[in-house]
Amino acid sequence: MIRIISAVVIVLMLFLAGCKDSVELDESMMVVGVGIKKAGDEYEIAVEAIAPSDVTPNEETVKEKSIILTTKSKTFFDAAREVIRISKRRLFFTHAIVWIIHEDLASEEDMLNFLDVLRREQMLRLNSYLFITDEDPKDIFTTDPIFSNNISRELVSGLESGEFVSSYPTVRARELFKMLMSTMNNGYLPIIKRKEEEAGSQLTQINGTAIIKNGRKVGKLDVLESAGLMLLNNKTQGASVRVTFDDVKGSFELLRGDTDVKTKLQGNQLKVDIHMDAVGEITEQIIEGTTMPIQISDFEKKVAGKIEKAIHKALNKLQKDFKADVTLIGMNTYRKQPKAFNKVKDKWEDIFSEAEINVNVDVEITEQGLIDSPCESYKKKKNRNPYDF
Amino acid sequence: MTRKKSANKVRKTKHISIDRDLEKNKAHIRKILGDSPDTSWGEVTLHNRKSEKIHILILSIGGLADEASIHQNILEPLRKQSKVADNIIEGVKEKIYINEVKYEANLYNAILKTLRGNTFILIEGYTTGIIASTEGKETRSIEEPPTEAVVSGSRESFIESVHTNISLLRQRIASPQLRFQLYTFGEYSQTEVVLAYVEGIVDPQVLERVNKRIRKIEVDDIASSGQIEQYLEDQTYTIFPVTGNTERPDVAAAMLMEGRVVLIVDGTPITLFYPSLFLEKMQDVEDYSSRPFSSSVVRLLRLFAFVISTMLPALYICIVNFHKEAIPSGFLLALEKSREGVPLPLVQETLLLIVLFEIVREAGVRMPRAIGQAVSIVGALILGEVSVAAGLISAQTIIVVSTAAITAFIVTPVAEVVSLLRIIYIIPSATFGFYGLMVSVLFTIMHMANLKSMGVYYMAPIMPLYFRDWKDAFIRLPYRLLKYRPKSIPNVRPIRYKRVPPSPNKGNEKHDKNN
Repeated sequence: MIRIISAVVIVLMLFLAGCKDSVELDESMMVVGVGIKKAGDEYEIAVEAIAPSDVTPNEETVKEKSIILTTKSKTFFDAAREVIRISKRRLFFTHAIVWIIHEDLASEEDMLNFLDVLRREQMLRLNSYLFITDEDPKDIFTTDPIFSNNISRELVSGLESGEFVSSYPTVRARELFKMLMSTMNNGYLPIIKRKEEEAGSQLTQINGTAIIKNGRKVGKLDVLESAGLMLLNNKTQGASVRVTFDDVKGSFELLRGDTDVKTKLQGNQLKVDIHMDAVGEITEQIIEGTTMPIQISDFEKKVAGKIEKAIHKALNKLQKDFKADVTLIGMNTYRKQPKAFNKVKDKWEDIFSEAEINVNVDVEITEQGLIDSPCESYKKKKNRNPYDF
Repeated sequence: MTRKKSANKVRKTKHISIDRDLEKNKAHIRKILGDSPDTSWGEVTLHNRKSEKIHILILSIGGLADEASIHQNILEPLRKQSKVADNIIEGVKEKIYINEVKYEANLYNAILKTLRGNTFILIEGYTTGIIASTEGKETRSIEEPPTEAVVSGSRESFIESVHTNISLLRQRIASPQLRFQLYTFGEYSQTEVVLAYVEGIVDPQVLERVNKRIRKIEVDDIASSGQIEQYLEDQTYTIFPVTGNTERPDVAAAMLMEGRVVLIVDGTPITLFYPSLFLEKMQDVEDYSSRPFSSSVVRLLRLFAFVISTMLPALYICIVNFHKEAIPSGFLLALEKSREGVPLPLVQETLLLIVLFEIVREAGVRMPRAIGQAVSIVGALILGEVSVAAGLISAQTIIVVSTAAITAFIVTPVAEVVSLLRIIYIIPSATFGFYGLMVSVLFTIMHMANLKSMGVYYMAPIMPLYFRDWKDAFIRLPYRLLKYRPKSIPNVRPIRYKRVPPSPNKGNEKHDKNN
């Protein structure tokens, strides 16, 4: 009897799932990138989908581009449904790894709101990368990818390898939600732009950081300031700093960095001590003429100064121009002095903008980069040509 | 060897008494055997003390009995003899040069024995005949086992003759504790089945169970060991083989030493052993002769292959049709491209390919070797490049199905199970996605946990859990650590070895510097 009952229960349970969920791959359209913007009082949605056109791939043919479709509607859901009318296939957003949001939409509407709607409609996945642009998102999708055949995939592979070029932020939807829903309600997103190449083709480029305050875009940091913000927020891996002496150019690569933000809130007075320990190597050092090689300690000081300058520049903009705390300062104050923080929570942006911030960077160079001595040193000694045959 | 006759067997045997008149007996035998061309009749005439002629009839079956032996050991000594003692039957028995000689008063029984290669000697005026063992049928020589080849290990294989097979086991376990019981099955086929076990290791309960079941077999014929296997099984309706089989005497001997019961069936080189466990199907003889590390890796590989082989096509269908987010993004384009323009839905395509593969495999196995090559060429072409180029089947499906197919070959003992499960899993996967697949996998596991082999749980040592046996289950630890016989197989001698050289690493051995 138990057997029969359990068999019936299991069979009934099977009907919870259904074959209606089965969609053949050649009846579906896999969206890899989505761009959203405002057009009047309507939303415009641009999707980039994989073009499965070529059945027998021929190596001689040019790389085919992906499909880009745009529709407009009052709601995102309707707009996405409209795309089906054009594509004649069911859309799958599960691989939509890139979401490009137009600047106007980001500054006019609360991002948390519309992104949340998209997430709940199962269009936006939490591991997708988000971007802000001041151009038509559709145009970003139409730029030429260099390696892969769709721009979204290329952008992502760029970001995933970009951990060694930490001058721009990489923000996934999950991280943005986390930032916007935290105590600060502020966040940041990378800005993407088109770049004209000489041959007439267009490429994309990450160009600065958009600062989001209370869910709306309020301003932008340029490349140097973005780097400063990243260093400030302890996202320091692989940052590269270029320094120039009078006749010596050199690059410094950060191997390990640790930023420590110490805050002290007294009434409305905020004192911040930012200390950064940076360990790195000299990656390039070009000596012109026959000047003496530079002192390592000088180099260290120079690099420290440069990093401090970048952090100061970023802080300056955040404090004075945007009054938006997207740094660890607010978070650390809240964690350390929750009661004092809660008292001044409403006027935090003023307190932040008035805060007294000291930045102190310690740089230690452990490796000197280039292995061999330069040609110059060989020149002095006769018959010691390193390229002797 | 103890010869046991089951009760029903005795009941079945007809009793025909032997007549004093030879001609009458001859006619009687003719009546029973018919006019078979293979019966050979020999006649010898002796003289008794009164110089009276006494006729002796010698019956044997050509091809089964050794003609030369009959000639040398029976006919010649009798012909040399001019006169014999009064008790002629004693005299004849003494004169012939054959060791194994018995009296037989039942003509029917005598004929049955003659049909097994013995020679039947009938003497005029006696109601008892003599059965002389002259078996000499044609047998294959002992060759390398074709199905279980090894790199290092014994090269011997069982053959079709029970007696040779028994001797092969005796060579390996030369102990009086190795016991054999002979059964004869099949009212017509009279197939000899030998049950072997090692007294003092085998669990009496298991032995009793085998004996009990075996005695109940009452059939017309036994065609193969597979038939016996199915008569003795605990469950009829299962796709899993709960009987172990091997062609290798060394494996059979190892099984005996673990406390198992081995059945040798006349006419087939495949011997059966009970109980048999699921995890053993993932093991191989080679595992025990190679280093424990490599054999452990290979065992895990086999287990992995079993899972992949059964589930890969089903998983593929689940992922592509139901859970598209599980497709790696980088693979999406290639997959979508190949799916485009393919006429059949994915499920049909996969099933078609699996069926095609099974056909090619079957053809490859059954075809005569000369045509075999043609099959492989056509198979490779149909299932390979051409079908992709023709846009009939997508390349990914071919990769998936062929991976599933090729992985099944390293788990040959369960290859049939694997190919059935592969097809079974596709159906729920195609209708319900991952959920359906998981439910059907759970059902399979439940079913497996219920199986028994001669009353021993098939899934031991996983279910019931005998953790000690895990030393030689998924992996194999060095022999040094395998002190105990597996608990999964019931036995009455749990300790396998008394003493081995202690491991020098542990500092047990004192290093003598002078040596």
